[in-house]
Parts: sequence; C-alpha cells; structure tokens
Amino acid sequence: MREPDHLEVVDGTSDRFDRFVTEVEPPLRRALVAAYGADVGREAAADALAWAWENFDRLRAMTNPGGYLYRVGQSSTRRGRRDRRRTELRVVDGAQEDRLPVEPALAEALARLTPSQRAAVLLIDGWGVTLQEAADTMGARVSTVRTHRRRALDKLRIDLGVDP
Amino acid sequence: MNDDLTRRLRDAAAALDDAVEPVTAEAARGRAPARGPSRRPMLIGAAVALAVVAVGGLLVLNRDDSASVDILPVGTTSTTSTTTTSTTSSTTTAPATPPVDTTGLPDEGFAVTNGDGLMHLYDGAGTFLAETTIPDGPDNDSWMTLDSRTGLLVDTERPAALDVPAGCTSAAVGRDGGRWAICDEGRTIRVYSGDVVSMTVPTPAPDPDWTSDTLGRWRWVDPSGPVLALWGGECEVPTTFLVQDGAIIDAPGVALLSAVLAPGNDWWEAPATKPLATDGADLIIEVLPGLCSSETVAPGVYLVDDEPVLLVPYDDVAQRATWWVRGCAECGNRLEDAIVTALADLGLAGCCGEPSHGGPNARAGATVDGQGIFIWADAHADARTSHGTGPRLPSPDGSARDRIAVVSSSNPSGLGETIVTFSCSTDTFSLGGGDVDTMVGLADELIPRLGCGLTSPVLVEDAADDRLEVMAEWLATHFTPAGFGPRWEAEPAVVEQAVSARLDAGFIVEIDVILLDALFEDVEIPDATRYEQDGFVAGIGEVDGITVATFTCDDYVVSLASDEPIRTDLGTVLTSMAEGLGRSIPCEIGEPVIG
Repeated sequence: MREPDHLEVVDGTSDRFDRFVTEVEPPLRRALVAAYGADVGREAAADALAWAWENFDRLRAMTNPGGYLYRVGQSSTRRGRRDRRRTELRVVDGAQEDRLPVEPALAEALARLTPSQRAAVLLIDGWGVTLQEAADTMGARVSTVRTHRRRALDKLRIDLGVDP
Repeated sequence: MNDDLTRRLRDAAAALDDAVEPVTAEAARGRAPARGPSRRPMLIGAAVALAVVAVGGLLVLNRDDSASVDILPVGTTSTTSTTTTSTTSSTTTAPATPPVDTTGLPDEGFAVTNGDGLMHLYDGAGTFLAETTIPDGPDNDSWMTLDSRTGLLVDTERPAALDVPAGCTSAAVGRDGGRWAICDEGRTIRVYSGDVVSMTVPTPAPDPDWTSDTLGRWRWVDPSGPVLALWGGECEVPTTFLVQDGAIIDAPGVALLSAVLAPGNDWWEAPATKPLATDGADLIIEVLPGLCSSETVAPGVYLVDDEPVLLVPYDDVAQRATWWVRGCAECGNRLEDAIVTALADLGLAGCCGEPSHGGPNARAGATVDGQGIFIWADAHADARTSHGTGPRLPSPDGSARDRIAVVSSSNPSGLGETIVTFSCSTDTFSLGGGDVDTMVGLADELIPRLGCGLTSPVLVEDAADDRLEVMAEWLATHFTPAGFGPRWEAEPAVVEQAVSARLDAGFIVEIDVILLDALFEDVEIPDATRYEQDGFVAGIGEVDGITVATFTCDDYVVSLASDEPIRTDLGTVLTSMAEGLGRSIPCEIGEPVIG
C-alpha cells in the first residue's frame, strides 16, 4: 500500500459550517434583533452560532436547525450569559428607555409588542419572508406565528393610528 | 394590509439591516470554546484512511472497528473507549428554572408573568401557589407543563393534532383522542376519529347564503376539557358555546361576560383561554387591552361563572397568563415516554431533544460517552419513511445487528449524516449525531427496554437486481457521501432502476449505474484510454472538461465522472474506483461503451 501522492485529505467540516452560516445567519439575526433589539439580538445570534459550531454534528440531525438556533438565542438572552447589558427594548415605568434604531413612532409602537410579535411582524412584513419561513426561523408553528403577526399588526395599527 | 404601515415596516427592516453587522462563521468559531465541533470518528476515518492500494488499484477506506463501547450511567467514566474518558454529567446544563415543590398542587391552573422574569402559579380559583422564574424554552404563549417528577415548568404547546384535515384550518386533540377541526373557512366544526368524520357541530345561526365574507364563523374550539367553541366575527359580540353530544348549548356566564366586555377587547382570542375542569361551564380567560374600540375593562385573568370575577389584575403591560398542567414534560406521547423511561433505566443524562408539540413522534436525546446523541422515533412508520430508500451500511461486527441498520442520510441542507436505525413493532427509531459504534451500542441497550418487538428495517424497496444493491453498499462503505449520499433512484420513464452517488474521494465524483438497454445515450469519450487489469476493462478520458471513466458489467453501464479536466492522479482514482466497483459484484465485465 502506498500513500496517495496527490489526494488531499479533506474533512470539510469548516466549509460546511461556512455554508451553513451563510444560509442560516441572516434570518436568525434578523429574528433575534427584531425580538430583543440590535445589541442583544446580535449578541444572541452570535451566541447561537457559536453553539452551532460547538454542536455542529448535533445540528445535522435536526430537521430545522435554524429554528433550534433561534431558541438557543432566546435562551442566551434569558440566561444572561453576557454582562447583563441593558436591553434596548426594556420598558421602565411604562416608558420605553431604548428603542430599535428605526423611526421614533414605530420604534415606540414596536416596543409595546412582545418579542415574538416583533419578530413575526418584522420578518413577514418588514423583510418579506413567507409565513412558513418565519415559522421555520422562529422554530414555531405556522399558526402560532400567524397569531403573533396578527396581534402585532392590530396593536401597531392602533398605536400608530393607521386604518386597517 | 395598510400600505403606509407596510412601507414603515420595510423601512424599519432595512434600517436594522444597516445598523446590525452580520455574524460571520469565523466570528462564531472564534466565540466558541477552543474545543470546536465534536467530530465523528467515521468521517475523520473516511478522510484520513483514504488510500490507494497499489495492487489492483483498489481504493479502500479502512474503518476503525477496534473501539468497543460501553453504555455508561451518568457520572461514571469510560474504561474501554478509545476516544474519550469524559463524564457524561459534565455536559448537562443546570436548569434555568428552579423546581417547584409540587406537593399538594392541583392538576392544572394558570400562571402569570410579572414582567421581572418571575412567574406566579395559581389554581383555577386564583389562589396563589408558588413563584418561579419564566421557563427557558420556546415562547409560545399558550401552554406549560409542570413536570411532576422534576418540579420544573417547561414551555410546551397546547396539545394539537399535527395533521389538519383537508379543507380545515386548525385541529386540536380532544380528551377522547378525536380531532376537532375548524373547517370550511370557519363554517363548520368537524370531529374526526382517524380519518372518518364522526360528528359535525352545527352552526348557531345557519345561513343558507353563507359565504366566506359572512362575518360569523367558528373562531376556536377547545376540546381539551369540556368542549367549548366560540362563534363570532371580529369586533362583534362573540358567543361561546358548550358542545355536548353534538349539540351546542350557550355556556352560562360566558354570554354575560360577552355582554360586559364586548366589543371592547379581544378576550375571545386570548391565548390563555381555557375551560376549568371542575365545572363544565366555567371558563378562565385572560383579558388584554382592546383592539376593536377604545372601550376596555381591567386587564387580567377572569373566572367566568355566573358573573365574571377578576382573579388576578394586571398592573404591568408585560404581564401574560399561561395555562399549566401537571404531567411529564419529557414524555408527551407514547414514544417519548418509552425513550425517556429507557434512558432513565440506563442512567443516562437526557439532552438535545425537542418537545413533540402534541404530535405522535418523538425527538429525544442522550449524552453517551460525552457525545450528544439524538434519538428520534417515527410512529407507525418504517425506515423508508424516515430515511428514504437506500443502501445499508454494514453494522459493526459483534452486534446484533442484523436488525439494526446503519444508513447514510442527509437533510435538506445537504449535510450528510450517518444514522443508526431500527424498527420496533410498527415504529422506527433512529439515532444520529454520534459515532457509529456508540450509536449502535446505545441502540443495543435501548431495544430491550422499549417494550416492543424488533423487526427488520425496510430500507431497500424492491431492488429488482441485487447487483445494484451490492454496488450501492460498496460505494457507501468506501466513500464519504458528499451532499446527498448514495441512494436508489427510480425513474421509470428513463431507466427501470439505477443507483447514483455523489462521493467525496478528495474531490467530488459523480457515479451513475444504469441499465445498458434502457433509454441511455452512450458515453462517448473521444480519444479514450483503455484500462485493463486482470480481466477488468474500462475506458477513461475527458469529455467537455469532465473526466469520465466507464465500464460495463453484465447489462449495466457504469460511469464515474469528476467535474475536472483529466490529469494523472484523477485518472488513477477514477479507474481504481471503477475497478473496485466492478469487482464488488459477480458480473461479466464487457467492453466499455466509449463511442
């Protein structure tokens, strides 16, 4: 037996992870930023993708790895792994302290939604993804996301004085 | 939707894209601990053991069959594994939600968040029971399980039928197992026993001219207790009915509440609406600020009896109520129960599963030898349903294992995966995410604890010719699948049967085996080089910048192609693969069809 002279040994895990991130990162980041704000949401997305790299083999067995990572990101925000920085959307005494970096009136209205409602309405009506894609991204059922979105739109219409 | 709101949301999305930098793969790797991804020995072995055998030019992958695997209980250390001695408990994360003392607690109740990350548990009469933190998990706003064994609150989804019948928009599972579905755009509620409609609930106000634009329709049906259903249109007075023996009855108190509240709020869409089990007519509802007009009542949780009683008022806009039930959070159905019980019997730490969401299948996992192994089960399905038809890989020596199949699978992302699967009674169980030896070892330990009869997994469906199966297995055994692995393809319009593969041999090789007498255009290789050794004959050359090797084997034409111009090493590998494939089955090697 002889060693091959020209066959490069290729594991390919790193390349596969690169491709995986290219596909999964945009919707994951957008959903988490919509739900938890620019800073915390991006940190959560970074945490989730770091977890993905650590557990890449586990992710391969999942039918919806993106949805699972959204939940990992949610856990990250809840567990306060980071230095408990102030969330952008925290509500103090009924007044919004920090807001999403969007037009003030809309930011204020978005701050009154739940994280899931913000994620649903921004994914579908902001970034234009389908209901099914949003459900996959959020790791939730279509009916759940549909409800989040409908409630979000209803509240936004009222808060912004927009006719249905 | 209003164009102005749409535009503002799109602008907001664009602004967020501008304000937030993407997370790169490199950054994710840098953020993770230095350990990096766990690697499966088989894949690594496939790469490092790739070698060309000089004699006969056969390409061989040496698998490491030396490792024997013990299934270890939590906290013990492997003494036989050749790869790791880590303890399984080290990978188990402490629960984020502190346990609740479940002693004396009722079977169900509601819980209210207070905006500070805490959650208060109440019984159905509004009596405070306990305080805990909001459970980690999906934020589905609908349902939680208080695990009687662990005292942990777990976010789960309201039991629902995953299979929504055709023509229906939603379905929920009743306590008798039937599916209650809202169908015909809300015009009817049907009850399904299996696929058969066993009952149709009449509408409260039959309208012969009913159209999809008619305001009234069934909004929801909740059959998890006494069956309650709500009829109404948006911003109209809704009416809740009790469904008994196929008839609808006005639910006492609910109509009164409707009169008090409507049309000032959307209580009838509140996610926490849930009937009490103690009285068929009582209802606990959550009232949120109104949507349809400026009128509203105090938000909070109400008990609806003869008149509405405010049980827990809300003083924070972030407060939300969720119904909870006592139960087993990790064993939501028959298969989950079987897996979790078996893992507990083995003393293995659970990991990496997902809730069943009320469906019939299970997704669980266990930490074995430091590896997080996914275990999933498909109810009433054979392995073809779970993994498609395809070749079986040889199981490791010394295991049981004629009933355990190792298959090469892939998911829509194209990430190849080696999966261990077995069929038990009418269900198929599968393991993934670990190395093959560990997964087969775990399967061996699980099978006698699942309480089901082992049956042969059905993987290759009606292979008309055993030679195809042998070739497919040879390919799957000797090479790492690239993207979609070796699989059967049945394209009756073109060929009766064929096997195709996309393999990683250091470079990508596309392989097709098809019948010679099928509708097949011969491989034409101008200036092909004839390769002959010990009776094996193949032709190799370049066609349109692609290197192709081809041979005939009885009535099959086999072609191996790599999307690269011909060069010496590439030619050597392709002819080696061709010869190995040709010798893997007893067939007569004929003259290659090379134009």
